Amino acid sequence: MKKEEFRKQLHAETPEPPDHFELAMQRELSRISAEAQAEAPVRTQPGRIRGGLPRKAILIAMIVAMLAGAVALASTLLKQNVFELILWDSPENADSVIQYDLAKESFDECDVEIKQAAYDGVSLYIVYSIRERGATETLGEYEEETGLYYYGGQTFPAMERDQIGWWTDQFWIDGRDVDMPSMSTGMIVGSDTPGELLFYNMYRLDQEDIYLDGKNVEIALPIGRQQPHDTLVIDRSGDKPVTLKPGKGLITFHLDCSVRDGITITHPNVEADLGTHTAKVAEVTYSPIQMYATMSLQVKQEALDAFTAQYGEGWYDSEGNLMWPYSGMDVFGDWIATLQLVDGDGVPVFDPADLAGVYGLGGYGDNAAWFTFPYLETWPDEMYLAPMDGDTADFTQAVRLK
Amino acid sequence: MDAATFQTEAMKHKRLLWRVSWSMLNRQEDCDDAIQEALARAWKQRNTLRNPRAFRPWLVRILTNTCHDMIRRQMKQKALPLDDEAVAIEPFTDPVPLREAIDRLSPEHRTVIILHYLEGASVREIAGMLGIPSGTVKSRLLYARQNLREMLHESIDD
Repeated sequence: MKKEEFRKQLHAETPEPPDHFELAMQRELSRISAEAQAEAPVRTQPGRIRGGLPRKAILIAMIVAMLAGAVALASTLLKQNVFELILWDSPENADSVIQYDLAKESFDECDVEIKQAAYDGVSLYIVYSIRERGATETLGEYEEETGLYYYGGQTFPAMERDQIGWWTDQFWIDGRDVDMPSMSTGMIVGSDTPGELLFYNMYRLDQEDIYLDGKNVEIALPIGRQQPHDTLVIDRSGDKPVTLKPGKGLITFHLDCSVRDGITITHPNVEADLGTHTAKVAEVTYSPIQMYATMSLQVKQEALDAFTAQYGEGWYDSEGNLMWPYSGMDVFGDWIATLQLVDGDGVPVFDPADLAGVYGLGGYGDNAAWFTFPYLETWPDEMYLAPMDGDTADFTQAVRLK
Repeated sequence: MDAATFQTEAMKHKRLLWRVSWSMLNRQEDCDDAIQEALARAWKQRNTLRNPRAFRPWLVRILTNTCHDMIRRQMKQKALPLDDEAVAIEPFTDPVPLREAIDRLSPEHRTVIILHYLEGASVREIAGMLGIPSGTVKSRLLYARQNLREMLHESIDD
């Protein structure tokens, strides 16, 4: 069954929020609102707000914020680069890696364009658009605060009539098939242009052990005319089945991926014994866009035994069936979720709240964990991944990163 | 974040919050309790959210944790069957209607299916929302699709 067909059926079969659910939400939100009003701080010091700035400084801050807002809005109206939606920010080196207007193909009613692409040495970022030429209205619901046209669906009638859009799992780089890598992400939004959908995507190619090099890497996305799946040719002669690049249904472009020549990669490998497990930062990649850190982990058998003795054999579903036994990640999961990037004095390099939802811990398993952090021109001389103990890091549970 | 903004943002995601709680708990009364508890927790923890654009995954994460806590509480209240008492799943000779097939999935599998196919969330987004590794999301999606294929007698594209 096609993904879109399944989505439609699932939509039809999934109950809508009942009135009592909405009522339950409203009741709780009203209670919160009443509680907030009751707790509103009384301003006892004229000219200052609690923990805040003098009135003059607030005025200056407001003017700066208004100017920044105007700049942000202008930027939104002009063009949003791929990082602004994937990382919710545009790193200072963005212009040095983004390439624009890389390919265009027209179909009966729609145009497909590769608008932006970038490679930072680890991740591949792509923005492509599908636009109905004759459309007169924009797609998606406009949100003033972000300047984005949020769009829930993935197709529109002209797109379906043209039979275009991502139609198979893989894409191809220099002819090699790439399965969708772990920790990849994406977002679909409308735009100021009527009938246009923009597809923002980031692919963590390192998760598939793929690293690009060279000035003319060929990337082929299955976003052209959809082809029957049984026309895909799978070569099973090697260790792993390979889906050969199809002759039709692809939009192909070339990208300069020589950025990897200039990035710094370190292998700190300073092992820390953390009681229940050992850990070391095996690799750090300082790309022009993000910093990527890979941690190696090994649970101690006695710790796993103690964990299962305390909590049982593993995870059960609501009917009491064992879904999977406990493993290393269950033992050190709580610890790993608390790690922050700190300098040699134990001070966080970033405010964790500013990283929420984008950076930080991207994923972990029994033997490895992956972290990302925003780009910095200069990093502290000494850095650790460590849990916090109050305002400073708990170095007894820290792993050295630099 | 002030209470009014919190209220507006939360109501924007009413349908998603319903789908997540329903997929995990599968009982409407429990969903009402879960969302109230999750909203109360989120409001208390609002200072942990500095980037308002991360509101959606942040709130869903709190809701899923709340649902997990409710499931754990429910499990403690009933005796768990021993492994050798577990009921074997009979092969499905006839296709099962989709709604029934979805109901038959485990809460973990149902949730990733709903988030991925209905909400269009990527593996990384789901991992962020559920607080689990991306690899776990992928494997849950894989097993959920396998289970659905057995019940529906039809495979589902990734």
